[in-house]
Amino acid sequence: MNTYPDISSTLPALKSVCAFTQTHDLYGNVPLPASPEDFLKLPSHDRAFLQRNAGNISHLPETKVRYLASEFDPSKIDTLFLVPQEVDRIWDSFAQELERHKPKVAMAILPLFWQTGPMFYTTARSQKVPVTVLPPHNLPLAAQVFEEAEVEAIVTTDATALEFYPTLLERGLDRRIKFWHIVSPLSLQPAFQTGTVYHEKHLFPGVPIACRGPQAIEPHAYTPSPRYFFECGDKTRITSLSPEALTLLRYELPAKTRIFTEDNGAPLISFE
Amino acid sequence: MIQKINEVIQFAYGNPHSSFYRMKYGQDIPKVSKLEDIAQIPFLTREEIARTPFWERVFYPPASIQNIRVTSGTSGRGVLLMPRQEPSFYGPSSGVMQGAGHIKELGMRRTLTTTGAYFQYERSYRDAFSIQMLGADLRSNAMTGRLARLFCIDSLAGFPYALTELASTLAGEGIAENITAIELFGEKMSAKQKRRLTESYKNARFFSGYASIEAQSVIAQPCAQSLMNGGEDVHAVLDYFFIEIIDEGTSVMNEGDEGEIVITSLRPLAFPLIRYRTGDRARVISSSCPCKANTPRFSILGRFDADRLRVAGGEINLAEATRALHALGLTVSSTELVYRDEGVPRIEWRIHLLHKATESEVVLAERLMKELHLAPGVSYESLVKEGIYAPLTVRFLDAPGKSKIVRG
Repeated sequence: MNTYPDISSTLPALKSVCAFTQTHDLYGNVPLPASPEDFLKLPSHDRAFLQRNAGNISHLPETKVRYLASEFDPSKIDTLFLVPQEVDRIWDSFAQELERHKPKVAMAILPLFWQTGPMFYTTARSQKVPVTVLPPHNLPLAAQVFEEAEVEAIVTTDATALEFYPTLLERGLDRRIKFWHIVSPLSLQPAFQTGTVYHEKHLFPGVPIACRGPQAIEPHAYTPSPRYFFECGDKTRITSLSPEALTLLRYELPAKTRIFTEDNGAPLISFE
Repeated sequence: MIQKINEVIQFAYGNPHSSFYRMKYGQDIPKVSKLEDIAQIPFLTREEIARTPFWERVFYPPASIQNIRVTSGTSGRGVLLMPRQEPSFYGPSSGVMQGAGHIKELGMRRTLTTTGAYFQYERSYRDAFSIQMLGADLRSNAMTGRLARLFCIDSLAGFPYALTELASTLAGEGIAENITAIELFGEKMSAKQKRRLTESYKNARFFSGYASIEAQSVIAQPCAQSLMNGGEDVHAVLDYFFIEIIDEGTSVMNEGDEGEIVITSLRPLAFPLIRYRTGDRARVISSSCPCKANTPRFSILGRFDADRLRVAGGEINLAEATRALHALGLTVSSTELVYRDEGVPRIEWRIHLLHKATESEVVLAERLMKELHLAPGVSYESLVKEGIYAPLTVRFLDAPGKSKIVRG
């Protein structure tokens, strides 16, 4: 069993999250772990559990929460549930990229059912970057806006990037892009790779758990999000390291993972 | 009012970020001493804005621009990018509506909305009234319907065609009857559309404000009295705009007079509008309103240019035509639909593409027949199958023209 971060040093944060879960209805009465072993004995939770219980978020005033969809495939409605997220949530990885690359304008081209508009907007405002939001079904329009508004950063899916890039290339606009931020479900190995590309794995649309920068050498290896505690064994589980609208507690990922370290000691996670 | 108009003129003319109005007015800085003086200021047209590169008509530094919105294309004159500064002024007016009281009165709390910029709309209302929004993705109707049920929506906001499209999905989820309020925006509805909507959402009260992306905000809103009576009249939001209704270049004010709505922003917008010709038609209502708000009242009649034609099976609607083109991934600089009835009616669709055509006129015509609807749920193709229409034809134009719908 590998964990990231190290479980001993993380125990106070994990305890605090367990204490938080006692204050609301989602998980019932979770005992506070006195040791790492205690924590690893706590019940784990899966997708079916969240589908049944994700609506129990009475710990937060309704106006402080907005909702995302739990599915990446719009035809999967039988397993669909609402994923609560704080209205002021910042997209940490994207915020860092904005700070690093300072694009003039950032554009999001994501299906509307992802409901990521608010987080995209709030994050870009925190960095004082103007945004524009376009639907993926009208890429000629997106290209027109890209050109006129002088867009320099794009957040989109792997499939849309693969479709959109040739249009930009044809118009000679590709060189303007300072970075792409490609979002994917855990099960997808993205193929888009041109210039500066950040790839990010989302647990649900709008819930990132790991990101891969353009300098990454190891193929398919991502940097785990500092928001979560990862346990990688026969199953992979993640736990929120601070209270969230949907606080995850030993949530089983629907993918096998491997945690290892780069030469510089930085942790990496790969999804199979 | 006069002071505010002069402040906006000063802001626009002396602006360090954009020389748009200096170029427009030259040496003649407009000065308004009394309201009648405003008639001396030249009109601003959409074409003038579109001709100017985007960042040359932004009146704030880029860091102060929160987002860039794209007009819906319902004018039929191509899309226009408009900047929006921070803080923005969108949302309910403090003047006429006293906060979002009308929203509360209508029972809007959890709303499904068809606008892509739903998060801004939500932010505007959240401050004044507890309202939450979910974006309705018409490309993924089944998921949208299920999300709406899980979200326990009680209201809808959006474009009439989109809300009509959603009706059967929401009915399938068993929630159409839970909807008690619907805010409509975008295109003006035909009587038939209105009937379909009221039949689909039996328990809903409907209301339409008047807003535009160019204006970045609500321009006029219904008052509580109008909502109660189901009237179509709206009150100008005087905090935001000075409104004129112009017929043949002069302002009209008498009951029943019709003309084009011309607006002047009273706040320093990212793109300030000074005597902007909206292209929207209105009818003046000069009688005093029972709500006692002493603000100009009018009813919206639709686009000034002919943008719809009632025909067999429904109507040809420029907004719907634009939607159909977008749905097929086409961006046009102009589109013209010619309706001919020589025994069996047919439509010739003339298009000037902004990009290279990737398919023949015949193939595109086949696809457009499937996509174009003359009424909710009634595609052109279905009317061809019923023998009511002859197949649609497409012709690519070599040069852009004026977007319109004409009877040939």
